[in-house]
Amino acid sequence: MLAYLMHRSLQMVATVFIISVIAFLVIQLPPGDFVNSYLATLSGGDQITQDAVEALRAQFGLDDNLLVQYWRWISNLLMGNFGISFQYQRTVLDLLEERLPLTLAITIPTALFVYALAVPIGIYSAVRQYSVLDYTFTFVGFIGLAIPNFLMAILLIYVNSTYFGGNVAGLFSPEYELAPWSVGRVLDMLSNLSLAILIIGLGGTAATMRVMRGMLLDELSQAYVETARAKGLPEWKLILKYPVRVAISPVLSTIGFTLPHLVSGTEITATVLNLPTTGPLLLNAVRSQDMFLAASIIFILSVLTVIGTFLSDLLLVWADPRIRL
Amino acid sequence: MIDHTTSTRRRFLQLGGAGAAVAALGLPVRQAAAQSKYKEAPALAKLVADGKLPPVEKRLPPTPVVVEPMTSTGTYGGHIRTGIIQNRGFQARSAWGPEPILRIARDGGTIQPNLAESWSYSNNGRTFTLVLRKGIRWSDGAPFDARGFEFWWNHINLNKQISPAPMAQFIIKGTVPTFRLVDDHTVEWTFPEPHANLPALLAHGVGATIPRWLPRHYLEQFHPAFTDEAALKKRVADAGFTSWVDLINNRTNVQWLMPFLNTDMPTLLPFRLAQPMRQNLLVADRNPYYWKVDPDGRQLPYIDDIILTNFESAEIRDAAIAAGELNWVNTDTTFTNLPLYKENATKGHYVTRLWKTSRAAEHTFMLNHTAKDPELRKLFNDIRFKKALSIAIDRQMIIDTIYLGYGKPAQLQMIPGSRWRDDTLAKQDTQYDPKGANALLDQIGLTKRDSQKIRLRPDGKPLRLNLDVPVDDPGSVAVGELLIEFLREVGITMNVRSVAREQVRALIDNNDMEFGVWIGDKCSDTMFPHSPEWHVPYLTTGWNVWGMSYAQWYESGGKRGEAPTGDVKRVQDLFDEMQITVDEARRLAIGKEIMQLNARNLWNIGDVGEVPIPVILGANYVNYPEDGVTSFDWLGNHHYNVEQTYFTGGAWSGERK
Repeated sequence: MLAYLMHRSLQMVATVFIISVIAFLVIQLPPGDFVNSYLATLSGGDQITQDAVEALRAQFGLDDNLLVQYWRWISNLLMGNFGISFQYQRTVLDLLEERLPLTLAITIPTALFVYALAVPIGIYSAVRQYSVLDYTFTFVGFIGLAIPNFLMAILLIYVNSTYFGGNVAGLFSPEYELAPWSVGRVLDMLSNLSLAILIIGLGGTAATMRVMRGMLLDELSQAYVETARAKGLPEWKLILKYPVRVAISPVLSTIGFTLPHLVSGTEITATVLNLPTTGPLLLNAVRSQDMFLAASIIFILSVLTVIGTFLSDLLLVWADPRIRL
Repeated sequence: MIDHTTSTRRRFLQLGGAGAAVAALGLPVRQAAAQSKYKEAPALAKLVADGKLPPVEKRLPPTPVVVEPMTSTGTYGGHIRTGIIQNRGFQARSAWGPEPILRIARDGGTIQPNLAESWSYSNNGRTFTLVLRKGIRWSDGAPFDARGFEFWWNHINLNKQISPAPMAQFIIKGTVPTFRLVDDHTVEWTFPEPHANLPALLAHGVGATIPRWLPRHYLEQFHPAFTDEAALKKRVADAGFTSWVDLINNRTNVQWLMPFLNTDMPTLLPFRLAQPMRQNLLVADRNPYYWKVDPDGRQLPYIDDIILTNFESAEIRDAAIAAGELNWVNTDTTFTNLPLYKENATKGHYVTRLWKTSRAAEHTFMLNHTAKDPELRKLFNDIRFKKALSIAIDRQMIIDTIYLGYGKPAQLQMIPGSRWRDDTLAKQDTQYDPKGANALLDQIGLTKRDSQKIRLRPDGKPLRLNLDVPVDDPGSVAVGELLIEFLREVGITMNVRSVAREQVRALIDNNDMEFGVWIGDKCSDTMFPHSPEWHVPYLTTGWNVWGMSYAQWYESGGKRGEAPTGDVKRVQDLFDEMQITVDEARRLAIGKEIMQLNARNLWNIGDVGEVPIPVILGANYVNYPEDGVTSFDWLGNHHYNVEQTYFTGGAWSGERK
């Protein structure tokens, strides 16, 4: 086991390094650089001479070659200095501190919501295949899969604001924006967050549910299930103890992708819902080539992916010892 | 509404004259003569009673500026609820001011004193003197005086580390002027020639940008010239930055003078930052040291605070308007959503007014006259080709299908009411005439066609125009799509490519754009004399597609870009002359000639003019015009003095309890 851990850890470091290089290069691919984007934000009254443009490039270090720029970024990053965002004139760390807590407050409950709902429903649908409830879950599940999150967000915003008088977007309703913290304000925030959790969670729930159902159906017809049943094990205990443990493997292996998803999997939905999370921040950073901000977020995401994959591998090994061999 | 003739006359009498202040008769702002007792908002009175704030007489200047209310004096209270899209602070700038050094009067043209009480020219017009108002205080109570200008000019503007180059608008004939701090309230600059546009610039973007660097008492702690090096280094490191430039830029981060991040940053606006932009929400409350009062001696502003939401997209901002969450939006509203705004107005407790803009045409379509493709370049410089394109456009259809019947066919000349407007030129080549367009194209020699009836270029390729449209303007995309149909009628095929604003910048800069489109704004008398972006290629940071190479040549003194000839060279020379010409008659003639050269060359092909912009205001919001103007030309609409507006009864009727 120890050797396995060592081996995997080394792999992780190499992967993170390669990803960091790719992340940095990809951001530089579109024509122009941050100075172009910066000039694009000026209104017509601002006048900047070519000398000033060149000096700006020098100031941001954009005229050095890519290797130098990469080295400057990564060496600072390893010391915990994420650099500054050109666009916001704030440190990247400061921006992340502003947005990460809320992001996690939305995405962690979402993830829990997805698994807590999807796994039991998946099991039920498989065991009671072709029952009325199975058809109902399948129908709802396909709708959840087929409608993109952001479209769902638009629909729910419309319904919520037209029929329930809810606010259109954002964290708080207007009456609570300036109010000090109170029970009412917390409830208001939770009601707005729950909408987000519902929308973002719906797609994930549907997918996980279908995977769980399909895998379990395969297992239920296996001989060992018959054997256990013949030995007189109670039906639900039998199902949870043997076939579910095998069938859950693919669900566990997707946990690896959940971690980065927690930080930014919801760019477009969060944009539509106007939630101040890291998603829209990343979207804007990439678009305006705010390279330290974008590269840092992408780097964090990739580290999380790698850690997530590692964790899910460990979980798999625990759930199914055959994998270690 | 806009009285340009008298305004400009007054301005130039002032320019050439003895140099007295313009504190003139009939203007809404005048000095208070004998006010003895001032009043203030209840919240501030309480702070004074608690001993947390000096009394109002001590906070106001000895003679505060008196702002005449537009219709009636107001009631204290209420929130302005406004929104911006993707952190573009300019969209809300007139909600909180701004307070430029000079300002534009309510007539939309006259230049008035503001932070400075007067200005004058001497030394054959080469020396420009600015006298500041006495007794104004920053929002932290520190006095505002001319030493701030000395700090800005010598230690920010001329400091190579923080300003790579001195402010371009102060440079005449390529020379940086000499600056002199005359006394605590007077500064002057000496130029090689009279800087004729300077008062207009100080009443506009330039004058609204400089005050960021004027609170010297606060800023010195971040500047190496005034602070112990070790202490500054520590301050920089503690904040997570690597240089003092990053730190001072962060601490002074303002969007049109409203601090966005730092509540300690002093301001001169009616509102000061109370809660920085966090989680898409910013709050600015009343500035207790604001230096303007109403005729009854009550300190302004009437309204308590501004609640500003940042929206991630225009669509969601429009949904918030319709849901009655905003009571003050008048920049970048979506004309095509006018029915949505109107439909929800009663329910949302707001009114939708239709104001005018500075757009002579909603869009200017520009063919790059220095396109890299030699065949296209030849066509784009042929007036017959441009004329054919212009008359192939069915402008009435654009008006009917996109602008709901509002608007008139127009070229990109000047807006109605401008002293440089010529109604004939504004309509020239706007009649819909596909037959005439086909005849012109045949005449050029583009007679061969392929099986799809698309004309072939002399090199045998089909004649294809690639139009790049900035993605954040839905109007451009809609008009661009109609243009495809119009041009197919005359045998030209067209691609519309929607490009992010940042990429548009890169394409223009590298001379890679063939056919571009932009909003046809800045066509008013407040803007044109110093910023004729479309009519003269001079601005390399602008969006002039037709002559960017010429602008690069102009700006770099011939080192980059392409040397202009003929009429292009002529308009650049005329613009040079405009910048140093004080004589009003000559300025009129210069502008007229630029307009005629534009009509003759069709560098810009306009679509439709006089399309209004929807303005969303709270239903019981008072002292703002029924029929106003809003555009960058007036810094939004700051000339309507937001500080004297109020809600009847002291709160917006749509406020949720």
